[in-house]
Amino acid sequence: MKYLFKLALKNIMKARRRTILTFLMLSFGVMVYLIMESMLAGFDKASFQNFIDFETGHFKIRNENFDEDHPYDTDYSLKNTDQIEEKLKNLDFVTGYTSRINFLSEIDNGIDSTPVITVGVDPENDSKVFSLKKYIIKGSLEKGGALLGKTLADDMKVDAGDIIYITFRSSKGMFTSIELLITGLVQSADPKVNNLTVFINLDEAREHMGVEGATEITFRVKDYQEPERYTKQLESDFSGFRVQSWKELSTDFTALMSTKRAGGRYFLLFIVVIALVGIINTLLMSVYEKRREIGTLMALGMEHNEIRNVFMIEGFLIGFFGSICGLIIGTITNLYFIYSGIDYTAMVGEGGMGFNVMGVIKSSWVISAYISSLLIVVFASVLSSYYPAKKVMKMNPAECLRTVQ
Amino acid sequence: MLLEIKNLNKTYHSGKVDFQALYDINLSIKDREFTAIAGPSGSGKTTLLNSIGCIDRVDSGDILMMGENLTDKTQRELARFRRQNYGFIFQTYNLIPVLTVYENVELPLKLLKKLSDNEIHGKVHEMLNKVGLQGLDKRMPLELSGGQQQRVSIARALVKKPKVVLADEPTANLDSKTGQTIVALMKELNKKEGITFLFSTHDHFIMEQADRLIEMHDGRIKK
Amino acid sequence: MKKSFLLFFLLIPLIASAETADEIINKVDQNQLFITQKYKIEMTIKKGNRELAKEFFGYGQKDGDKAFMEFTNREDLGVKYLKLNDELWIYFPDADDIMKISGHMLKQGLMGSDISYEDLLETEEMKTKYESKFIKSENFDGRDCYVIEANAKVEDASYQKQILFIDKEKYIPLKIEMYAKGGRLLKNMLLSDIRKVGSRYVPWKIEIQDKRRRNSKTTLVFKEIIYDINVPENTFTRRSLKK
Repeated sequence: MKYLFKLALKNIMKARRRTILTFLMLSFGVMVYLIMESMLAGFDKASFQNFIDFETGHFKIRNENFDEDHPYDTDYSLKNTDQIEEKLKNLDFVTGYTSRINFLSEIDNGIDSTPVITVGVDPENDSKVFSLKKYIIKGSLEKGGALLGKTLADDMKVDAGDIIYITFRSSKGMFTSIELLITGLVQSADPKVNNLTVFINLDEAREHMGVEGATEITFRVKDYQEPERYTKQLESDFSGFRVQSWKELSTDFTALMSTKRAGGRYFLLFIVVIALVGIINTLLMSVYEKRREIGTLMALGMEHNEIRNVFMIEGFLIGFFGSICGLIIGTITNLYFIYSGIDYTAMVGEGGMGFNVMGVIKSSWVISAYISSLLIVVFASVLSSYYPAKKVMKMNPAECLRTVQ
Repeated sequence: MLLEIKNLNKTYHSGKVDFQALYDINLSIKDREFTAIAGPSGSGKTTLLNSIGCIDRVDSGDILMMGENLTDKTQRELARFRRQNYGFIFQTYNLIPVLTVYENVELPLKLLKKLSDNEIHGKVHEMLNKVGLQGLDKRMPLELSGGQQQRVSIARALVKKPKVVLADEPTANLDSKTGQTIVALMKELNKKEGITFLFSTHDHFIMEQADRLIEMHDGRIKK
Repeated sequence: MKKSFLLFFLLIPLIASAETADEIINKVDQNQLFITQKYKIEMTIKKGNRELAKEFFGYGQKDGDKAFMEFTNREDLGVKYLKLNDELWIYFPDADDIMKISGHMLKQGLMGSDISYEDLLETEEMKTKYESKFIKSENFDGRDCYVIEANAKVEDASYQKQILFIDKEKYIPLKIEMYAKGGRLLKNMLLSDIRKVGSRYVPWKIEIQDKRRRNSKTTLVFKEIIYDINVPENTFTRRSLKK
């Protein structure tokens, strides 16, 4: 077997243009796949980070009857937020907490109106949980004022210093329209914040909405990677409330991410097709071109299946080295994407390709992409070399030797 | 008797046309014989050699080599038998182009899977010396002249000390002078190494070198 | 005597008005009372330069506040709504699915119009939720009108304030202004082409403007309205949606 490997390797080393082309295509495919997976993983990571930083925090406490299908209903809110906050304050693993009121309203400038998410923000505590404050590009959130997503403000053709109205029905049902001075603009990595959110003062939201406490209290913990370790204590401390970790809060989001990740899988499938077509073609030609060589080897006493194996090993080697080569080039290319990152906003606009990200995104290492591409490409290569290689089995040495070349 | 051939028949089928290449061949070859098979093209020389070398099937008859009947054997058994007992020399040399001279000569020994690398190394160099190719072991076949390539081919056929070397028109692609030196080399090795040679040729000078001459015509051996 | 007589006449409208703000509203409410109704409406939604025309028919049953609507224009053919008490259901023929409209969805406009689902299907009785006050008499659209200001008595009223221009003769509001908490005029409703159907007056044309948007208007024009008829059986059941 070792000798067969050596023979196959010699054949590969003196490869013809066809073989080199197949090899390069595989390398290229694997390289692109690796870069793509890393990019997607980077998007994922950034997305998740944004999701945590802007939406879920590490844990949320909500009313027991909170309806996930209607997250902006204020029917089920938390009444005694002070009490809950006090309790959180005394938990040593909680690093920060804040109350928010979320509800839907319509924003208008007297000409146009559009539905928005309105968030009542606690000016003191919010930055201990959410990253909102860091992304304010102009002004700040002040009493009697509103902080608008930059894209939303652009859409409404307003800027800081302008007046807007938000109209909503209070928790009791009365239409309420309030005039707000835009005191700040925010542009964050979260498109939801940019495109459709109006932030106002928590106390004002309480007053206008007729809500006593808040719709949710969000907090951060020391070890957020493993929220499960806190679940038990939190459940007993806050029985009668709904306490959910970011993992539980992001199930829809995770599902969305995994569908996006499927794109990478399809690409891998595409490489497999290249492998199949390329290797079948290369080896088939090679088997016919080397008929006299095959006959010679048979005359020298090599068994049919040994010669077949040489060809299969060639397929394996093309796949293996093609993958390795692609992975190496991909890794080198990835270094840039991973350590410097790319500003996708400039490339795809603020829509962000449907990802929850903006700005410079750094790719992530994806070990599984190395393993899966190597395994799958090698497997596909060996598999596709089987068909051409088995042609050898039916060959007659004398006929092969008669071949005029 | 090293090799006995009895009532050998072989017909080629090409579409609806049948062409009988061997008619009832009976032949015996003694150990250490240096035998030439002569005859015009299409007389069945190559078919006979291929049949003896069991790289082609026959329709009927027996090929007995050292008492073993080769016509009963499976493809795999035949491959192993060839590996042990036969050396082949081809008109077109048929060296493996991606292997060096050394590696080409080494190939049969590697297939035997019996010897260590050191032993192989010794045998290959010894053989290359015998065919006068010392110092060319790292060359690629295509860097060599036709005569040199055929020397490599001879080295490859003989390195494993087979019982029989079968050579189909070994000099046909060479100029006559080179051809003569090749046959001289073959004969020398036949005598020195005690290896049986069976070769086809239509070159009269070369026929004269043979211990025994078998003449073929239209698939039959001329008496 | 003469003097006091004159004074009496001068005071009549004042006294009458002061006393009748509630009565006027009562009469308006009464005019709108029905047991069952069937109607066919053409709805035009204007948003900026875009105009959409839709058509639907419906049944109403005051008792228990039940309503059923089915769209008949091509784009929305077969879309049906059903209101049972506090619940609103919608049926989409394309998806062949019944969906309950609840929470914030109730605040969306019916088929993208300026009428929210609540506006259309939730009929508030003025007298239970609003305190009415006569302001003045004014001519509107060529008709003598009472101008009534209705202020919310309770927090769950939809509007903080409504100003109604009520036709003195027919007891039909010709214009209703709806104000949000905070005092802002949100919506304007104009009712015209008043026709007599049986014993009651019915505005044949209703225009609703959302004052928060420029160039936004929804117009409803009745094609047909019949009161107190027999409603086909099972109309107000969820099964009727899928039929």
